Amino acid sequence: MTLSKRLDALRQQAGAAPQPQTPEAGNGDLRAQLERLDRHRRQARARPVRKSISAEALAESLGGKVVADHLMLVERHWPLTERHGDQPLSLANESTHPVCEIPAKTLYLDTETTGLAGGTGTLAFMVGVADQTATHIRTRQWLITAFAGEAAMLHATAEALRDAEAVVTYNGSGFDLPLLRSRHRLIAGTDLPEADHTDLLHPVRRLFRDHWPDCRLATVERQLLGLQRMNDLPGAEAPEAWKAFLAGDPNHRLAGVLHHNALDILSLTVLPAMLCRAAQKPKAHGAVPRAAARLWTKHGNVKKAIRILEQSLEQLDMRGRHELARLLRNTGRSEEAVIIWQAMAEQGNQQATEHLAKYYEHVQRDYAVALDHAERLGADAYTRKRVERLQRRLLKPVQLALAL
Amino acid sequence: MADAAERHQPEVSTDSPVRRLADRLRRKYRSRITGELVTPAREGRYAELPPELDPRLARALTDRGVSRLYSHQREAWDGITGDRRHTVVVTPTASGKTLCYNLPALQAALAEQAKALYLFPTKALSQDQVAELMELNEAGGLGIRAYTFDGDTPGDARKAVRTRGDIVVTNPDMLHQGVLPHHTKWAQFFENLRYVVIDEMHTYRGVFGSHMANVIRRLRRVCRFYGADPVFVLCSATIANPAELAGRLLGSEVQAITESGAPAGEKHLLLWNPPVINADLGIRASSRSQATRIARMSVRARLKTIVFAQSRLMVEVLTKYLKDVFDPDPRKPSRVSAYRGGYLPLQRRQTEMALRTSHIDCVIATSALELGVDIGGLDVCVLNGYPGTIAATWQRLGRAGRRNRPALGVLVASSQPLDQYIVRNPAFFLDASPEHARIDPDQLLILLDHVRCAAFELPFRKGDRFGGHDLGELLAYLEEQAVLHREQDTWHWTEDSYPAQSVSLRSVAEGNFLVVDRDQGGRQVIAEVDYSSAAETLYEGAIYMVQAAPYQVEELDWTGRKAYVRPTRVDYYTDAIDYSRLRVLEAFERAKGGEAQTAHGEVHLVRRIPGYKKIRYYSHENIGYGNINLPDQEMHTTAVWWQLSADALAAAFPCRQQALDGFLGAAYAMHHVASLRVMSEPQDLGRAVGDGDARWFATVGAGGRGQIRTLDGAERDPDAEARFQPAVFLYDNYPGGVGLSAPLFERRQAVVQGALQLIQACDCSHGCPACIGPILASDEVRGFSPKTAALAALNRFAEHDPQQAA
Repeated sequence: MTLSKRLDALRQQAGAAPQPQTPEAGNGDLRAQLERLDRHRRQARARPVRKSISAEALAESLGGKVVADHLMLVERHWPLTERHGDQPLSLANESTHPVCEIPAKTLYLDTETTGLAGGTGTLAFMVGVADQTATHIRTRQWLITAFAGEAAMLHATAEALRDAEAVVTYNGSGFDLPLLRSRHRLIAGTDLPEADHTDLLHPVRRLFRDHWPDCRLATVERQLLGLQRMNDLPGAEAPEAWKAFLAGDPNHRLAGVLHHNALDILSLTVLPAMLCRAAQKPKAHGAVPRAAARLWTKHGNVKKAIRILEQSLEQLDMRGRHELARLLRNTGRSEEAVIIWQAMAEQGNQQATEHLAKYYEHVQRDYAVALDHAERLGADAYTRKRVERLQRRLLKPVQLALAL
Repeated sequence: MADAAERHQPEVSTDSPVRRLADRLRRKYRSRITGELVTPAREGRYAELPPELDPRLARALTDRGVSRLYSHQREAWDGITGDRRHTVVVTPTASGKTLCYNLPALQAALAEQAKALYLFPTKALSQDQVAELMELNEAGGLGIRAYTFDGDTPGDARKAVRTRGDIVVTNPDMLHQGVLPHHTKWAQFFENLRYVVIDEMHTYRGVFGSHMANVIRRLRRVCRFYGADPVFVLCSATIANPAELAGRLLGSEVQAITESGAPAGEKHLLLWNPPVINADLGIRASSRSQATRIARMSVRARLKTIVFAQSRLMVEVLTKYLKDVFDPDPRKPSRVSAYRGGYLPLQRRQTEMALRTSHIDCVIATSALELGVDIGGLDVCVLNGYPGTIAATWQRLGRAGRRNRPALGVLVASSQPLDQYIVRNPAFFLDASPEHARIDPDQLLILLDHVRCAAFELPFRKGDRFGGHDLGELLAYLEEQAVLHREQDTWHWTEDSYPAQSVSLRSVAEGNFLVVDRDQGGRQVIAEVDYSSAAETLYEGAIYMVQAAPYQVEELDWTGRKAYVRPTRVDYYTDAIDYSRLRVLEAFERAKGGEAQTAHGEVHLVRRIPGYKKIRYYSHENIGYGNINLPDQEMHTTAVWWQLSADALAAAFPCRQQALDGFLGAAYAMHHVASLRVMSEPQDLGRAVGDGDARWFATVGAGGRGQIRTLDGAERDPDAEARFQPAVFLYDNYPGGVGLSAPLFERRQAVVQGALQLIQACDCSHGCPACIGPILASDEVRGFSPKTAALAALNRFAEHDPQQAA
């Protein structure tokens, strides 16, 4: 039975009378019906049917080798002496404290995907990882040439993760890793091996969010590594490139995606040390001193945090100055904290005035000065109580005298 | 048996206040009551707790005073847990439906750490449900983890819900957009999924139901992937075909449990037709005045009362009238409250609580209270207007009634044709079974949407089945669109998008409007209005009412989706004027019957709201106009339309003016008959009379006669038009269409015949709101009968068609 006949039969079962067929009726063909109904919602984007490009041909043109059905690998070794932007790759060996801890067997990972939307139907068509030998950075980039290659690629990725002590990504906690986990669950039916994960987006945000227009990796590279990507294929266009390749389009630009991905993972290898430098000398690298100080405080180095804040005292915003005063007070340097609070209180900062009121009441026990500060505060219940208490304390000696 | 029943109900005596009110209404307004029904009280039927019930669960029940089950609860248990059959439970409000699914779900969680998924049509209902589950859980110290998962679930709590929840409560939209597309994150949950509960099943009809059936197809497909085959438990209010609807939703056979074992009090139902105040014009007193009167008597008799109104506006008007009587002193706690969509959740929760704890004597509500929101038992239910379906009528009436007390329901008819038909033919309503709820899971566009979503979730393989059409063709079509990529026998998703995001299960346009009170520092959001009704309710100058307090709209930020309002004191409300114009884009199908031509196809609708009327309270006189400056709203949708050939038109009518009046009258009657035919609410279907090229459209002017206008509102003279070919359009009132007009095209003759019968059977002489729409007194004097004109048009439409003999 043809589809159109079946449709007719279905419609009759649903209570419709048999239709006299007229030329306009056109209710027979499912395809025609689809096109008609669907037309207003989407542009027909039919592509010309082309012969698909073979994995071998692609591997040869990209300098890779076919390692499994529909899976190719591009492996390269980059001497540590080579420059990445205006920095040498040897930066990968430098200290990363206190930004993150980088064990010897760390895997730097970045994926290229069929979309940015997330969800089960989005997959990585390329996984790039970097790791380090004594003299080189090794990059391995797996690229699938058909959906059927995904299982082998995920297997290779899982192997690499299993061998690693830690994994470093940029926005991997929000994007790359959930996506790989989801596809691994779907394709292999098991969970992806987990390694300690450092997502560099987080320290970058903390250190630079207030100073930069955005925290995209390209911005980080430009600002910190002096790397200007020339003729780079924007990451957002990667999905199109792979789709074009699948459709057999010879101008598919996968070479561009490969290059883009390689730059990404190389950047990941040097970025921790660069961020460490920024945490050491925030002013010199355009980082927010308060954020750098926080990093040091978190790792127990309050002295270093204070030094950083003191060095950029003039540029510190209110929050930074409060932070400095707080650290000074906590380390027994209250007099210095008071100077900072006073300067801020003179500019009308209520919080600083409150600190002063507290300081004079509880530390100095100078109630007159404390009251003077407290009276400048707003009229909330808490402050009212403080003022009343201070007034009582000021009156007490007088009452005593009277009693005598 | 009767003796036993009476012995068990000593409190049901003639001096029950509900009976006294019913008797008083019967005595005082005998002529207005066109029909009545008394359902005697029913005793409960019970069964023992199942022996295999987990002892902890049994103890939790006994602690809460449940030592035995109603018979239907036990029947459900045996079918669900014993035979593992998909089951639908159809018993009245407050008959303990929830226990039917809570028991199996809790048992499975306790005994085997199995999971259950609960689906409720709205978020509010989900929250009620979790609260109830948790009570039982805490009473028994069961340690079951029941969580809601919806748009309000914070990001850091979601993982716990996915991995640790025994019972996850969500709604279809969240399942569709938030769960299924991320099913790998839910792998553990799906692997152990034992039960899927779908409550308020009757709400899944029409478009929403057709989408729902496809979401369930996707859910079952994902479950199969994880090796699970859950049993579905559905609950529904009374509809004619619960097992069939459940079967269509699931795509599997479902057993129905329809005999309630719960006891019920005596019920009185009165059908009420407002008195005729102008016999010639067939004009009756408004249902609004009658409903208010009955509600007043009821509240004065100290009876808890609910009044259902058909629109949000009418809720506000009725609330104002009743507050004027019962809440004259604003310092005292109010006795009357309104409840409708658009109020903020917190406000609604407060009203629900006040109802449960009897702090409010009267609530005026839209269908928002029709669903299973727990508001406790009420005594009297007044329906201001026929809700549109028999099922919804019983559902609303069911809001009144407690176990051992009589309840009274009054259905007050409006002047709408359907209402009049119902109260004049009481037997039709009282004897009729409720409607069939219909869905069309294979509606091509809906199906295609979900094939996209399903392909995103799991690749399709050759030989897979999904829906009633040839899946291979659908996949090939999507492949051609470069949405899918075929590799050997598998179709993979390749688009850079998240398809569920662009598919709305309710086919309602996006972007609610917030109503912001400027007197509260411009921060206080007092209501939300959905996009589709914003243009007609939030224009600048509009009086927008919340709990009958009037606010005037000062500014409407269309792009920012905000309306800024200020409290005001006015003695009028506002009503928008609607100009709609249609253009035929393409006819899919045409049928010629004699001189009439009917077609079904795609149309482009432009809707303009050029102004509004100010209408004074109580007198309802028009006291002024205002202009509205809003963008036109456009929509592509599907329609069915009727036209006459030029010769037939000339032969049927002496002049163009009469033809216009005839078409307008016919459209009015056809619109109402058509909404019955497709079991839609009248507002799901739009009607228009106009020229198919959208050069003009017709309205009934202030003089009661048809006028033709351009979209700018300029009036044109029908006789001066070079070409005059009016058409009656009935269209799907949703962007993209919802599949109403195609069945209407197939039943075109039934629509025409039904409209003919409606008009012919009407008692009026020249036309009235119950058949062809309101007419003016002067028509009769002029010797012109719009009713005759409408019949002339319909008789031509009904010209014999050998293929379509009704």
